[in-house]
Amino acid sequence: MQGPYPKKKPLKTVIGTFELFGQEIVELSPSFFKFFGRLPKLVQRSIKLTLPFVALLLMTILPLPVDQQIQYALAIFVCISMLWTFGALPLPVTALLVPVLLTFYGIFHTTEALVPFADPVVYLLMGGLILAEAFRKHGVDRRLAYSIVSKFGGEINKILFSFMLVAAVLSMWISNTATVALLIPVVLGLASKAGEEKGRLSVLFLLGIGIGSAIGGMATVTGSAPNAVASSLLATRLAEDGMTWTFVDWMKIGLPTSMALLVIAWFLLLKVFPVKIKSLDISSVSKELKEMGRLSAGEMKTLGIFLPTVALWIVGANIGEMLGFPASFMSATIVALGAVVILFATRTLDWQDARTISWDIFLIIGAGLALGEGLQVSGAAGWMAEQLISVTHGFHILVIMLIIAGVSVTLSNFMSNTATAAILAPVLIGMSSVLGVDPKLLVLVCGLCVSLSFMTPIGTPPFTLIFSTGIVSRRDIAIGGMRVTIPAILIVVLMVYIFVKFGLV
Amino acid sequence: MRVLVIGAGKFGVRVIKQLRKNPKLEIIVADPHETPEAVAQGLIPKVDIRAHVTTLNFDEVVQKVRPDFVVLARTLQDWEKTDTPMGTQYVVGMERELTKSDVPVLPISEDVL
Repeated sequence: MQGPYPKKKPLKTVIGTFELFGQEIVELSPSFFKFFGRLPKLVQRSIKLTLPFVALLLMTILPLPVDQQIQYALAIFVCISMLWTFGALPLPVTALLVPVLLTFYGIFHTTEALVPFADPVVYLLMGGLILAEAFRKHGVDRRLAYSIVSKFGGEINKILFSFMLVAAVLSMWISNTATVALLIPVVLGLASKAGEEKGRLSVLFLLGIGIGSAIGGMATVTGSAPNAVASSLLATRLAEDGMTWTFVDWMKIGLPTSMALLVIAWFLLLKVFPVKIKSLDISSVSKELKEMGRLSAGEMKTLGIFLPTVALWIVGANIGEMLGFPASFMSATIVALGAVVILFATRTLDWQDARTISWDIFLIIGAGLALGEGLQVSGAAGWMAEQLISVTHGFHILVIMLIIAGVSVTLSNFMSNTATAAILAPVLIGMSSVLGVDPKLLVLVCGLCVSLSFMTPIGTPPFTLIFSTGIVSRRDIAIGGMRVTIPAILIVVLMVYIFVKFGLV
Repeated sequence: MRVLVIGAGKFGVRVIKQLRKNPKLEIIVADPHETPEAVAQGLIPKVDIRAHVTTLNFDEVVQKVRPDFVVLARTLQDWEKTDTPMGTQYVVGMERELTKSDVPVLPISEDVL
């Protein structure tokens, strides 16, 4: 597929096809993938399903020079990582295998293996997704999108920024994919008014909303699932030292990083995908906003529940303390669950609406947390950390953070962001203990960088959706994504380093 | 009277058959596929406009065809995009945007036929 931008240089290394998560991809790949891609689908699937279990068996029976518990946990880690990477089984099904293996190998009892599936962060994210559904159902998201875009005027650079801002703001609270699904028809409608430039402008706008949504999702714990995984594992680790890690703590680093990245990404996209046209008539947006009229009852109820919820997420702990409530009553999770109950009690939503939520994500998060705890308890996380440290011995912490960022981005471009965070975060917590550094330095870099997965169409569902429009080519995504990702990595690493070193988070 | 039917899949076939009952209607069909269901069944010899009609090219198609009204005859299943995450939301949003055109646009639901 060729986008509207002419190829400047042929990508000589694009030689093979491979399938991940059911999406056939052509990537910078060695001849192995070319060979693999030519095999019948059934053979491919059998290999992808068998290999992880062969690895599990081998790692179980081979005499490795480590404690037996560590060996078993490593075997599970490798098997689950391979299954999540290859996508031979649906991600949530692989997630169910985690407690099965953890109990089979005696690392956890049944209850211990299943407790992470009911972690507070799972319910926090559930609350966020149900709130988001109310946004979608009553069109609050559309109104917000049109309001912001109409305020910025018709210059192309301003329109792009407004779309990226809308995508970012919505993604902080609702799913990144839902945000992109909402905005694609709107941006294409506006780009269609650009005459001969409409192809180029569509690419610019589509990449803008994709990148904007990914960046916006970094700002809050509820913004995207990997944040929830990283935040929960970090909270557990910090609790061991008598410290707390809350919804607001994540926002303290997530929000400024997200806003800084948004501006940089906007600037870079305008440079990488220049358009000749300078402005567009956005009267259709203003007209649409006008036609929406005043806030509907549904919108008012949604906002009437959402805004106090956000306020309580931020200052709820202080209010609870003042009013003498039990300490955890005003925790972000309990506030979210309270909001959900009110949404249904006020008939803002009915249960049919809740059925449309991606419930599978909760299994993946639970599995990630269970795997993380299994690695910690068995000592496998510490062992892997020691091996990594032996490789990075003598490196400055900033260099180690850059390496972690690079690994996180690379993995998340080819596999689920949540799974990437679930696999890396426990190891990084172990690594921070061995290095004697603040775990926030390593876990936050990983947690934030896994969202920078916009170099491939399979990096994140929003990019799969953007690619599926047929307007943006793989090359556009690779070029746009790469140009934004490299400076973004540097910014994330620097922001985390500065914020943690100066005690701002 | 010119009618632009967007979609010539299984659902489009039913819409075209219904519209043909009125001989005064001139039916123009748009579909991205070369041999969609309507062509395969011999209902129409070929697709008039081979394009995936979205908000990006809708005005262009309408200007070319100059229909009196447009019928959106695509079910969610006709959209390959529904395989992607949140694809349904995307499709619904796209249909909603298309109905805002200055030309009357009738999104037909399967319940109608």
